[in-house]
Amino acid sequence: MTTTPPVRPRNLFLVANNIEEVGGLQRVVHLLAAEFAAAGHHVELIGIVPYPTPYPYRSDGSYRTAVLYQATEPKAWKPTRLRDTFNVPARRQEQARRRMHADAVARLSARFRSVPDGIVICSQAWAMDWVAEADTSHLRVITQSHESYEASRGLTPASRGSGRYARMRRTYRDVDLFLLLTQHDADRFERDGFNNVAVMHNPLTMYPDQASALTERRVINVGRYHEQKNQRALIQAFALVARHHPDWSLRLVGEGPLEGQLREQIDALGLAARIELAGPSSQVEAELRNSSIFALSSDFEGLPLVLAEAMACGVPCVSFDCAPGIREIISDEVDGVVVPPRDVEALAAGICRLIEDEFLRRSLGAAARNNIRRFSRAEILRQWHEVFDMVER
Amino acid sequence: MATNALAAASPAIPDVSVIVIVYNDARNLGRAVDSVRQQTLRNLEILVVNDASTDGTPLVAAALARADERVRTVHLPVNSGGCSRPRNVGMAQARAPYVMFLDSDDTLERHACKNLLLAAERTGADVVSGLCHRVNVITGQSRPWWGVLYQQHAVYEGIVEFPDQLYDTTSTNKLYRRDFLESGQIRFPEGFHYEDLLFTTEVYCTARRIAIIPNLVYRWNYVERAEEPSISNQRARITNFQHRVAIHRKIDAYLESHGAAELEIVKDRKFIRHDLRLYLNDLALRGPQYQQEFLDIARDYLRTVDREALEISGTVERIGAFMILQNDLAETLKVVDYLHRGGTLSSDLYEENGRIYWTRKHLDAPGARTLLDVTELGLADLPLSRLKLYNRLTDRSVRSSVLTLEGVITVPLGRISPADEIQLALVIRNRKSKRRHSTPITTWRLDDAQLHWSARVDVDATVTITTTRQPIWDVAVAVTSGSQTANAPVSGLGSNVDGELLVVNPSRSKLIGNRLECFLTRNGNLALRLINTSRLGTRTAEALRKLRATPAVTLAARARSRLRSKETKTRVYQWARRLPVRQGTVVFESHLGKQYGDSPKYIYEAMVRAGGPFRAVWSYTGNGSAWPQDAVLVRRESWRYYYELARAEYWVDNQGFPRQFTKRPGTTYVQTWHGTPLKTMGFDEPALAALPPERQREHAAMIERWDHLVVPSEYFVQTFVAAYRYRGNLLRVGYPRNDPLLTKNDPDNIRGLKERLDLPANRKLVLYAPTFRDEQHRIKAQFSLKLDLHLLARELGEDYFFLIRAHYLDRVTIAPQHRSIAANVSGHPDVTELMLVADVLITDYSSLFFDYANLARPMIFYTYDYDHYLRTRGTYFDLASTVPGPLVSSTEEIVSCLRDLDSMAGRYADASAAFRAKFCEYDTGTASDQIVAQFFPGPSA
Repeated sequence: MTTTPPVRPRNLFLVANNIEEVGGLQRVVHLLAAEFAAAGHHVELIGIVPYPTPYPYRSDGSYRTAVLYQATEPKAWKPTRLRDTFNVPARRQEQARRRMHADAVARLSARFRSVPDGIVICSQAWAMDWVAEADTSHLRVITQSHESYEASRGLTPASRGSGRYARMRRTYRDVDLFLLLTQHDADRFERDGFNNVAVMHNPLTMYPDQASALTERRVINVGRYHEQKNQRALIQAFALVARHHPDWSLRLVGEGPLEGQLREQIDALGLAARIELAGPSSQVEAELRNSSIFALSSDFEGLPLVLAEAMACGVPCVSFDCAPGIREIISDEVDGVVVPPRDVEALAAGICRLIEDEFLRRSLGAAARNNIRRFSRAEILRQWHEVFDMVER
Repeated sequence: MATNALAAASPAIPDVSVIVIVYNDARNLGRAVDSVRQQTLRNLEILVVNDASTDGTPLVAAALARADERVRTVHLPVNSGGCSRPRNVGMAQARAPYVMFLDSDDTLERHACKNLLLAAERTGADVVSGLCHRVNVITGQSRPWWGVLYQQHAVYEGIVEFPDQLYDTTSTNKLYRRDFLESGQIRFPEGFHYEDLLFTTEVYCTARRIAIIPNLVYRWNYVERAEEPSISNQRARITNFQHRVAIHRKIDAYLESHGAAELEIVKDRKFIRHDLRLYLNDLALRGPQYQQEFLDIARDYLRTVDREALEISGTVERIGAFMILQNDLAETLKVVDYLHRGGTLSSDLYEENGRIYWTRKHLDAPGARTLLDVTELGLADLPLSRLKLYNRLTDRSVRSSVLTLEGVITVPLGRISPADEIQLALVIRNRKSKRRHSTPITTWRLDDAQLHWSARVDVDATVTITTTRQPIWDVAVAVTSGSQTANAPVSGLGSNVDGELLVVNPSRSKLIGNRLECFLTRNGNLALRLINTSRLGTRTAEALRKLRATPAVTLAARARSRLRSKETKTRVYQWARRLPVRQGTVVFESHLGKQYGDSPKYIYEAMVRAGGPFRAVWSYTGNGSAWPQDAVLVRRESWRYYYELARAEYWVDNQGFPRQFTKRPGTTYVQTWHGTPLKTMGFDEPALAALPPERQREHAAMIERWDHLVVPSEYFVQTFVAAYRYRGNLLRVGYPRNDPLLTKNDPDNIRGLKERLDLPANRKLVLYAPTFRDEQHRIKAQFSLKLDLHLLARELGEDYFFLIRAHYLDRVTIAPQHRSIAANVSGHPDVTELMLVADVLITDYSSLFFDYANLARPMIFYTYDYDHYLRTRGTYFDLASTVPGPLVSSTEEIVSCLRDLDSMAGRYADASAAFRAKFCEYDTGTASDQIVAQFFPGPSA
């Protein structure tokens, strides 16, 4: 922690769907809880449901954690077909679920009532179903969405059919403040009649002392092997790059359902020696610092923190313009390169430019490392304190 | 609820004072105050100013003050009769640095105070304005009030930066810096209605900085047909209009004294476009005395309005003001028809020197020509079907179930002329099911600009009534003139037709209804409504309504829609494939059923000529009228469509039947693909190669269905066939659609065609057919013609005539002044015929030029966006060095090419032959016959 301005200690509740899974959101809420606690606040981190294999997030005891349910709650049920009207077991189960739900809300209210005042920060729409029913009359409530407007609306392939937007319309519009990751998303929600929006970035999880030397002849991508991340396009693009630059390689760090398919694709292109499916890594920072170019070929994204991490390591990025969040991180031609979405040839051309022009690579990398400081922990904490002051007026 | 902790945290001075004024509104006051108490900004004070109410208001106010320490009440000793005094008193009592106003029957949005306050602090503005919604309390519907001004956040350094803001004259959706109001001594004027107009004008003109936020802040509630209308709803009294004009005079005086003359025009325009319009809306419904008084007051005021304000008001609004100035009530009411009845055209328009005027009357008054010029509305140009003709009911009688109507239709610009064949019909159309019941009208006469008609219809015998759920029918006269049809709703204003009852016998049961009641719609048009006058009937209707709301009925409705879904149809298709193949059945489809044309059409015609024992089924969309009536027509995606495809022996198309149709072994699929490729396709496209394997497999499965593929050249085999990895049989016969280009290319035939298409015989015809500019995220196809028709007319007008053909997804219109040089032929279904008559082709990247090459006529490639368009796509060959014609990028170059056609043709003669040999290799004019001989032979074969 760098210089912390003196702040009034507050009672803060951070609420998420679950706080024990290994995931980007969990990483962020634990990091925030620790930062708030270090700034002198009384912090309690609450998960709604437990996760079967809880990850031991490093907690120095500076903040409390709690999980509302013993086990995962059954899915809500509503008759949808004529014959469902007579489905007695389902009705019974639904009644039991409602009782469990009410009990959980009561436990949450009890936690909230243990303080005379304070602020609830709810990070996910599903968890908000409990917060909205609990007694928060003496508290201020801030909600967050960690995904893009389009994903919330169910307009992206992965989110299709999701009821998140309806839930947000129900529970997010009346709270004191609704925070989004990008200005674009805030604008879109505002246009839909959410009159309480503002922007708050997530803090960088790392900022290494040493930047990448940019000497390794390696392009890297970090992400799950998943449709959404669309590494197929990156492999296809690298096939074009490989023809001109036989000494460069591509390293894909991650794991996921598409591993077999990606391997087949690499083999079919005859590039098994040049493209490596590296598997998952706990040393993301080291992976980034051993690379010279980061490439992102996703179909869509929210605000991809991995780009910010690459930039923190001084690695210039080439990315599809697949979400408004991309340009909120990268300034095209200033600290990275942005190419049209799904345009494989343009992605290849962008990578080639950075390979061939070492000066460009170094200057974009240096600018990236400098510009990304705006996501640093100290800066984000300062913005949170402004937000606390604002909601308490 | 304010807690101890909060009270301790909040400073003594509130951030915002909200002044709530109330007069005899005990019922709503609590709702208004609660909307402030529940603001996300807690640190505020609420000043309830009671304007000497005589009802329970003081009690309610006292209770609110007890419940919340932030509420203070102020009681005026004597009723002030308006909003000004209570607001001024509230302002004097306010403690916060910012003030807002709220009326007791309205409410604030939950975040309003915080959003306005933060904007004020962020921008340092003197006034911040947010969006207001008008809310119909009964229906709950709400609409933005001047929403166009609140599209985005904005900051103006003074009103001159954005004078349109003057349009929003409500004082309540705003937050004011208190010392700004005090130092400027800005107060509400006491003793006037419409005090907001003057107050906001003063605020706008004095503020150094104005901030706008797009967020909803204020809900302005109104009750339609309220027993005690609120002030702004009392427009029925002429004094109300006098008040409004008086306030406008005060504003004028204020603006003048502040030297803000440039704002005056904006304000005057607002008077014409907004204030005046509000009253004009109801003018037709008022008595003659009101109408004349209104005209007098308005005329007096309009005389003080700057001429320029009239000219920059809306096209038709300014005519309203002009007619008031002329003291012409009848013409003013015609403007009302257009403005308030959905563009109903009761004025008969007048044309002179290519300009269209609203009317011939008053045209010689000073400046009238500018004001009455309505050419820009395009009324002369719109198809008849899109004009709203004025159809005034002149007489009517109702006897049992027989409705007799007489009326007059105003015909503008002679758009319906005796030269054309004219047909009239009375159309009674169900508003929900859209079912039309049409009765021909035989008695009519057309004199001058008036079409008189008289119709008699037995409604019971004509209209089918089967359910109470579609209870409204609209009545209109359909006028067919030549090839166009206009729909003229019957306007029943002033005819007393309202409430007449027709006796009917519904086909199912009398319980559904027994009378059709005549009534006038909001636009004043005649409509019929099904009602039940018997007691049993009304009770049954009530019971049915309750039954429909039960969950079982809702679920049953959902089950019904599932039954009609694509999934169910596909399952039935899979099952129907087990039935035996119907030998001799051929299903044709062209461009996904969007048109009857291209190669499938020519194969079909050759098949019919050959006379073999085949049963042709055509898939269609739309109303199907363009398809051959002797074939079996099935609507695309209908049950029949699935069934026919399941059992057909042959499928013939040019693009691809939907994916869910997996082909059975007994069916043969002849694919006649719709063009030679220039751009890379199929698996040659990186985008397709990057798709996940299952999506690629889906793609491949669609292509594997093809058994025979029509091929125009070896080039096509090397590119298209390879790119799609097609391995089936190739029919090296050329494109059937190109047969006529080779067999019908003789002068007699072409002359005949030109005559049939009504094209000039003695000028050279140039076909301009640009390709579809498929840009990403394009939602609505808007196509801007990149040809300078004006220049073409000037340079080539006497020798050339241009046929403009847009892609079927694009739309194009040719302005009337260009009709002598160009015609829009986009609607013509068969492009082959257009190619035959065209002496020159201008195109860009459309595959059309491969086909046109068969004619060996000159081609010009108008590739103005070559870099932009082809940059992102690969091509199979270099366009510039291969095509037999010049690439140009401006209309000027086109002109010089056309002037020099002969030498151009000479220069490209070799290239043209080589091009033809390569790309039209197999086109010999016999493709259809060869295909028919192989698959659909006639009896002689």
